[in-house]
Amino acid sequence: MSKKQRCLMMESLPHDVVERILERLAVDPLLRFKAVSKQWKSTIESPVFQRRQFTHSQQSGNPDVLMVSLCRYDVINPDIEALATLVLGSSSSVKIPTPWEKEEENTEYLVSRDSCDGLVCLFDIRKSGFVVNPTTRWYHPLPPCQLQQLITGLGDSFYDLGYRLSMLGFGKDKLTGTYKAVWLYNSLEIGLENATTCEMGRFIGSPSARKPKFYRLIFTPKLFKSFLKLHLPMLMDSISSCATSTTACAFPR
Amino acid sequence: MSSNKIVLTSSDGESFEVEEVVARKLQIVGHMIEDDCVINEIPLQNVTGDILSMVIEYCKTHVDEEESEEAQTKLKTWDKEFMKKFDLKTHLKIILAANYLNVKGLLDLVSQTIADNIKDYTPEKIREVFGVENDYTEEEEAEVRKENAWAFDEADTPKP
Repeated sequence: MSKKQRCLMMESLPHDVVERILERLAVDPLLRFKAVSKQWKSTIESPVFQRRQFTHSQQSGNPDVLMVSLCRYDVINPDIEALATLVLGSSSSVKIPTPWEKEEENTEYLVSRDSCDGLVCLFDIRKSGFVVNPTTRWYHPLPPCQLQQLITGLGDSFYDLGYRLSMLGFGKDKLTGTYKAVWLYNSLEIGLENATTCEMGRFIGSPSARKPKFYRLIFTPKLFKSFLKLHLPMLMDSISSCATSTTACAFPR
Repeated sequence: MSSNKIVLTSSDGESFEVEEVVARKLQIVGHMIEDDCVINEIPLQNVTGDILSMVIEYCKTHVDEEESEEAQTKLKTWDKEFMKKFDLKTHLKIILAANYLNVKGLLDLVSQTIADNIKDYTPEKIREVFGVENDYTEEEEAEVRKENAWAFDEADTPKP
């Protein structure tokens, strides 16, 4: 160790002071600093610390924004692209990472139009969706909902139904603090008894989360198309609270 | 407001006479005053004179925290310039003092300053600066680095 380095050494700081400094850092350096020591790693991974770090990054003012394409028919007209912005906590990513994809797959996922606590939700009508934290590269698969299973079962004949509209919403249940994904589609168009169906999966945003499960809710028909135009989180809030308070209206598959 | 004077004495025997309102910004002193265990001289065992004088300078500047936006902006600019005067080694001493003396505003300010300064450091450099012992085995460390490999890649790339 050189002389200059030695004079930088000092009595080690109390760990609570170290935490104060760390909670003001962005995610990239924090992931790097897990390699400093076991104590640093366990601090950085603790949920209490992560909550405080998240609060700081929200207060610091400049949220990072991710632009995503909302247009699902851009194959037909690639020049027209509808863009939406998703607010992320603190991310330097420019591309949503999809580490579960094999190279040759190259699926074009749709992105749920709402982000929540830095998480975004990717989905594809024929495949399982994923909840991704673009900043940390953490991801969690969503199981296929009933609609997706039906589509898989029908194969190409699904398209003969002329069915088009479906959407995956993503948000947080303010009552329980869990994240939820909601599929919304018009089941009349695919020959089911009720006009509008909403399927909801819930999970906690951590790697140890239990496998999410989709619950199916049936609710008032006819409003489906206008629902899609609404800001989905508003809808999510009401669905979420109804599902947590009266489990009778939700039944597991 | 009381214009009582209070004398603060550092661990190396340097004394600073300050107004009570300024001394109260040091919550450790504020509590002593409220507990009536203060006459007018307070020895502060864990802070040296050079650092204590910096803390006092901060407290004097922040003694009237005005609500107006203009005053807030001015204070923020002052904070920035104040922090620029010192190197990382001094920042670390200030954070220890601010923690011990319990000066909330200064603690936030210096924590943020240190965070901004160390964000591009390697883990090795962090251990050096913070005096942290590496308790990983070589394999364990390699594993942690592998898990977060991309965060290391980005640190190696020079930023514009």
